[in-house]
Amino acid sequence: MNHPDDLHGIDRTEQDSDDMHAHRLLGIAGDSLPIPYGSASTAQVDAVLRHAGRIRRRRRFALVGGSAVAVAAVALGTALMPRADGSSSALGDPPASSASPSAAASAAPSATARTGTPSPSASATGAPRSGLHGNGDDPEPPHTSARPTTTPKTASPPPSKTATTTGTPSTAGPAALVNSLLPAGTGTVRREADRVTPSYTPNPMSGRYLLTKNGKTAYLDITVVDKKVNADQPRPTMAQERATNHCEDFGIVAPNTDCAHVTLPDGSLLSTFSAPGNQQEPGSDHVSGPGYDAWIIYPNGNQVEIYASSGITGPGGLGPRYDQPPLTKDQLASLVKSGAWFKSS
Amino acid sequence: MGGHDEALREFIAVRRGPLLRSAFLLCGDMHDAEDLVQTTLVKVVLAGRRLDRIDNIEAYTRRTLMSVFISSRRRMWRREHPHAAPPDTAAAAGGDPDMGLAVRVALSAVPPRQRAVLVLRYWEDLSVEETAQLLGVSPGTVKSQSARGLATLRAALGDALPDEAARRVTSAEEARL
Repeated sequence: MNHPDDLHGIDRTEQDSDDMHAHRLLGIAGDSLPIPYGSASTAQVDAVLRHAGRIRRRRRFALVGGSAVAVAAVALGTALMPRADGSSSALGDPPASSASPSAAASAAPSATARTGTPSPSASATGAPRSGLHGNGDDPEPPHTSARPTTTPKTASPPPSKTATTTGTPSTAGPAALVNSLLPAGTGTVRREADRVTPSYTPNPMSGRYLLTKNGKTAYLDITVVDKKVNADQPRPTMAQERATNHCEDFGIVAPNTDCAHVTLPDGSLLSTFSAPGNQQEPGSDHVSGPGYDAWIIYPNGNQVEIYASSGITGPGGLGPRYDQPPLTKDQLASLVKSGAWFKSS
Repeated sequence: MGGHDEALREFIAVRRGPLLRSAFLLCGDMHDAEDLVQTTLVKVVLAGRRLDRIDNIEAYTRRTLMSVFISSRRRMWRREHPHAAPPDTAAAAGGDPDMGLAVRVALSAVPPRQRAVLVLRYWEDLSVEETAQLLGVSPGTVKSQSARGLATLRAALGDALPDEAARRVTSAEEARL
């Protein structure tokens, strides 16, 4: 048997002739098939979408990602913001929502009201192919440019009605809350701009948060589902999630590993898995780094999922990535269990 | 989201037919081809949110089709035998029906991976490099599998080959392998 490279040695004209004949043969085979040219029927398209919908409902969410009005994000972020005395970081608080319907309404997406500037990196996709998250699509509210301090509870400015009503850039807002919940030294937090307006009401906390440290960028994809804020966002039941195997190998990209479902003492379900690198879409130029995912579903239906990725490299990526995911598995599990995610409501 | 949904619907509507042709050439059976395309498109839909950021949805879809096909052949290998005549070959829509039928019968004799290479190279008109990237193999592997696949194809076609020149090519390919 010849080595494949031996083929380089064949006469170019002969090779071209081979190709022409092969094209001709396959062309005859394909063109003579009893398949009509032209677009598929509506019924055929619907059949695909229904099939996908059934799988989606059965297995997991397929979130497109949250999007929120920047002004609403600021308003809700202000409400979220830790008090000046630092007493409201709410870590460990129960995930009960106190949102009012009007707050939910104010968070409704609006393409016209979005003010976030799309990030050049928004085209990159690094999310693992399983899980509740799915963002990187949310608006970047008033640029929460940097982690203000390693003691954010006292460094954050107090709530400001001015910021709420004008959308003035501020360290207040979702990024500030995320910042306050992260271990010191995780990196500077800012929220990525949205690219998609979902059909449901996104939670103002949901979105992609970029973490930058020493010239490297990682990210967190955070999805919060609060029944009192965004009840229309599709979500699986606890039973559905328990039955979902996030490590299923679809044969397209490397599967997730270390999948686990753990029932917590309060009856919540915590699901976790590790995502290997190289889970980017086939054909993409960028390369996703490894990450961890944690997803909690509370008995009342509220949910939080966070995917912590080391970043995305290559064209359209985020630049140099962290060497490891920005949080350890334990840190991520603690973060996802925080009751602070529901304090925005 | 509405725009996303519409774009997705349009993509499915436009691409389903061409995918079905490719799928038929891959698996030689209309029912299997329908299943293959359905599975592929469902996977594309389930990619959902990521599609907005996928650089090349065409490549993504092609690769998914090939991946589904190759993995399904692994599971179904024992079921797959060259057909004396492929099932579901109703009246052809165009081209040379007899020759088309003969080529499709011959394709079923080509091992799945080589068949995938032939379909991508000579039906989808992808270059060696594009085919290699899509299948995750080297260009050299594409060339060798292409040559072997064509040799098998032409040997299976035998006298059905359209002209003497093609038969000469067969001999040349066999000599190289």
